Parts: sequence; C-alpha cells; structure tokens
Amino acid sequence: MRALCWNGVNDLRVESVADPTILNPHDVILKVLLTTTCGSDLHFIDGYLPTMKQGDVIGHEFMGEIVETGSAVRSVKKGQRVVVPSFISCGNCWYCRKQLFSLCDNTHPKPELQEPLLGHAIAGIYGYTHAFGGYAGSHAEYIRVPHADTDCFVIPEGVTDEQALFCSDAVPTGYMGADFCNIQPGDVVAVWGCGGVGLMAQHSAFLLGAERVIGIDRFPERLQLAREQVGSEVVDYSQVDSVVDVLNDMTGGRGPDACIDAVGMEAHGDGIEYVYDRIKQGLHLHTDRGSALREAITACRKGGTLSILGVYGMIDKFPLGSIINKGITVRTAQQHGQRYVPKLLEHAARGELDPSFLITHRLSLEEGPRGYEMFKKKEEGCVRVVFVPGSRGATRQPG
Amino acid sequence: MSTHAPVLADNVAAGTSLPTEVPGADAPSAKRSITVDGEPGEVFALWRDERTLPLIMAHFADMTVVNEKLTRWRVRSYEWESETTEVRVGDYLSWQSLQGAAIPNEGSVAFKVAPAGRGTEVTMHWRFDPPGGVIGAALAKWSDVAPRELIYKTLKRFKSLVETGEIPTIEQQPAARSDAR
Repeated sequence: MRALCWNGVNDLRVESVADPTILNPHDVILKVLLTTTCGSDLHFIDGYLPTMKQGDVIGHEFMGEIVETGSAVRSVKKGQRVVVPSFISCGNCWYCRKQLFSLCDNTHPKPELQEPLLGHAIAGIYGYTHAFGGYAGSHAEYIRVPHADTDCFVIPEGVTDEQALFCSDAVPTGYMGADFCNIQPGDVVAVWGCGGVGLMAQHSAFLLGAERVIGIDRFPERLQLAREQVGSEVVDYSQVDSVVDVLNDMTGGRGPDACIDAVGMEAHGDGIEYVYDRIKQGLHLHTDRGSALREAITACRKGGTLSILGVYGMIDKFPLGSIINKGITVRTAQQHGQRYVPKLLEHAARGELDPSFLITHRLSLEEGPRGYEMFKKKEEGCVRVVFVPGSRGATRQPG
Repeated sequence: MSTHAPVLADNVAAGTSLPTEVPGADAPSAKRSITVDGEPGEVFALWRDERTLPLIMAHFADMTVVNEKLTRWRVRSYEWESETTEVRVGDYLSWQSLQGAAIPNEGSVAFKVAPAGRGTEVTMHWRFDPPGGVIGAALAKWSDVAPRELIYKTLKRFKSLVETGEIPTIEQQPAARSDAR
C-alpha cells in the first residue's frame, strides 16, 4: 500500500510499504477513508521529539471502514464505518475503567522507552514517536487498530465522513479541555490557539455552558473562523501590547475564569521571552517555547482553571509562583477520546456540532509532503489538510 | 505475612532435584513491582499456567516449560535450565539455574494483595551472572538490556496478558521500508 513516511527532520515521503495485518485477536484492519494533519505532528517533523525511525508511517487522526477483524472482536464488524481516537486503549485496565483512557496500562509495546522520560508509560498512539509506542499511523491506505471493541466507534447515519473525522482527535481533545474547566454559569473561557483543537475547545466551551469565549491567535483566517463558525470573541495577539491587559479589560478586571492552552511547544510570541525560548530550543537546552502557556497563567483569574492541551516536553521559566499565589487549578491530559466520542457523535447527529469547517485543503495521499508544508507554514489560509487515501484507487494485498 | 506453608519444589511432582548454580555475589540484579488486576490467587495461577512464561519472556528469551519444576531457556547462543526451588501457592515462587548454566541466575516472584481492590502487587527479583562471569559491558552483549528493564518489560507483558488476553506489539509494522513491496 501507499503511505506517508517520516525519513528525517523535515523529510516526508510517500512510499510503498507492507500492508498491515492482524497481529492480536482484538485487532481490526481499517481502510482509511480520511486522515488529517495535526499540529502535534510538527514536533517530530521539525525534530523536537526523539525516537522516530526512518520509514515510520505517520498520522493519528482518522476514520475509515473495517475490512478485516481479529478472532476476539465482538462489537464491531466488517463493513462498518468507524472513527478511532488517536490514543489506543485496552478498555480493561484500572485506568480505562476510570475512563482515563490515554493512561491505559496495556497498549504501549515499548514502555521501557517512555518510562525514563515520564516516570510511567502511558497509552500507545498511532503514527507518533517510538517513545509513544511506534504504531504505524493513519496516513496510509490501511491501518491496524488494536482493541477494536473499545476503540472503534460506529458512525451514525447522517454524520458525514468529514464530520466524524475530527471526532478522532481535535474534537475530543478540545471537548476534554473545556470539560476540565468545570464551566459555571457566567464563566468566560479564553483559548490560546485557533487551530483545529483550539477551535473545538472554544465550540465545546459553548456546548458546556460558557457565557463568553475568547479565542487568541494571530492568523486572520483562523480568528475569522473563531468569530464566524464558533461565535467567539477574538484577540489578535500580534496587534496588542499585552494580551493579559486586553483580557482583564474584557472581563471587568477579573481575568478569564478558565484559560485553555491549545498551542504547545512551538508557540510563537513577541518580545524578549520568545527570543530567549527560540535560542534555547535551537541549542536543545530546552525543547519548548512557552509564550502562550505563560500568558495563560498570568491572565487566568484568581482561583481559576488552567487547562493545558498543547504538547510540551521540557520547559523552563515556568511561572509556578503565579499558579501558587493565585490558587490556580491546573488540569491536563492527552485526550481520553473514548470517554467523549459517543457523546460527540450524538451532538453531530443532532446538528449541534459540525467540525468539518476545519478542512481547508483536501489532497490525495500522494500529495502528503506538500500538504504538511502548507499546514506548517499556514499557507493559503491552511487550518487542516485532509488526505483521501482512496482517491487514487487504493489496492490492498491481504497480509 | 502469608499463612501459606512453604512447599519445596521437589515435592511438586517432577522427579529428582538437580544441583543448582548460584550466581556470584556481585552479579547484576534488579527488583521491580507492577500491579495486576485480579486477586493474588488468580494472578499466581496465571503466572504458573504453562503457556504464560514463554509468552511474557519472548522479548528476550526462547523458553519452554518442561514440567512444573523445570524450564529450559535460550538467549541467542546461551542455553540453560532452571529449577523451581520454592512454591507457596498464591504467594511466592523462586527458581535457580542448574549447574553448568551458560548464564547462572536466580529469581523470585511475590504476589501481594493491593489496597482497595486494586489487584495484586507482583514483585519480581532476578540476579544474573553474564557469560564468562564478566559483568557490566559484557551484559549488554547477550541481552541488550539491563536486568531492570528486562524485568520491567517482562512484568508489563504479564500484566497485559492477564488484563487483556494479549501482549501489545508493533512487530513488522512500523519502519516498514525493509518489507516494502
């Protein structure tokens, strides 16, 4: 089959690779119908995350059709159209039973690589680094999905492929970020980042009862989506002296009740602090640029909630004193998608959620490297590139 | 403390006990724990199931369970047999390699109930003499992993097998270029 493979820093190629096969009894094989770029991919494409290997198939946000099932699969079957969260969960362990699905104990094939980094291994993820499991990703014609009974969600009639696609990652991640905020009547929620996850966090904050939502970014087309598609108020951080001052002014001096970071380690920013981060990151003295996160902490009202969705590794100049002195509650996780996807598909079926506006570009898999280039540089107003692996006549050779 | 009385392995069934080989006092060793879903009695029984050890050790050793007492091991070109030295049902078991082992080793696994229904705390201890008795660098040549990692991965594989009926794998499926067609 054809697949988009990592070959080195900023070196993606479409290659012919072996088709996936059933390896464990709870596996299924999916024919990938749609698969999309995610900002967290840029971290290993740009070389900020170690443990990639040449030839790794990338991609972790996808939907497709089941074409083969393992012997122990019970609740899904061949021919069904399903969406799959990006983190792989067994459904049986203590964490899965507590609905902390991305903390699953049983889906990381190489926990010895991750334990030294994190202290404990978490769930495996598709199409990411080997420290995160090394599973082959979704930018391919076919993908192996372990623990299908827990991880495959049948897409209801009336929900399109494009709507269901983002229920794999951007929507449940954003929804979880808003859920962390314990939104009360009258609450104002500020969201740093108006990419796929940030826009979905904003939309979810409204679904969960926020009075007002404020989106922060610098790209006009993204701010426009936040305003027009989600109904957020927006702040262009490149046009103001201080985002914190602006947010205080917008909230009667209180600051937002909850602040969501949907940016992560490759934040842009202004001023000396950004230059400091960029230099240290360039020298590999730390992995992250943290302007958005620092700003969110400073802006958050006393006793408020900071919800972190952006991906970080090591960061310094972290204003812990502000968190302590203002009594801020910090909530964060990789997405517990399996907890939210059924509810999100119901919202989509009822017409309350349509994330398909995130799609700005629709390309064949063969155009993968170009798609990531556009996505990374935000060319042509790019928010999300969706690849359609079947668009050049997929052929599959059974394993 | 367990109330189970110790049962010597040579009472278990499988014939005469052979002389064992104890690794040197300075041999590399490690001890690690993991919490596995289930009561200690169930988890112990699954460890003792003859199908279990070959699966959970497969990441570093090709091993077979000859009988309740004897196991046969191969790591690359190194081979040895080990004998169960003590069994306390639901609680504890230990083993030691037999005389002439290419890699003299001894180990034990203890099973203890975890609080509030969180399962069973399984603690494994293992001590190896690397081939030729050379420690440190030579160790890497036969296993590529330190005992601490080796035990961790073994316990993780056991936990996944008990809790899900399978061991997570990406065998042959990432970095697919070598198998391209």
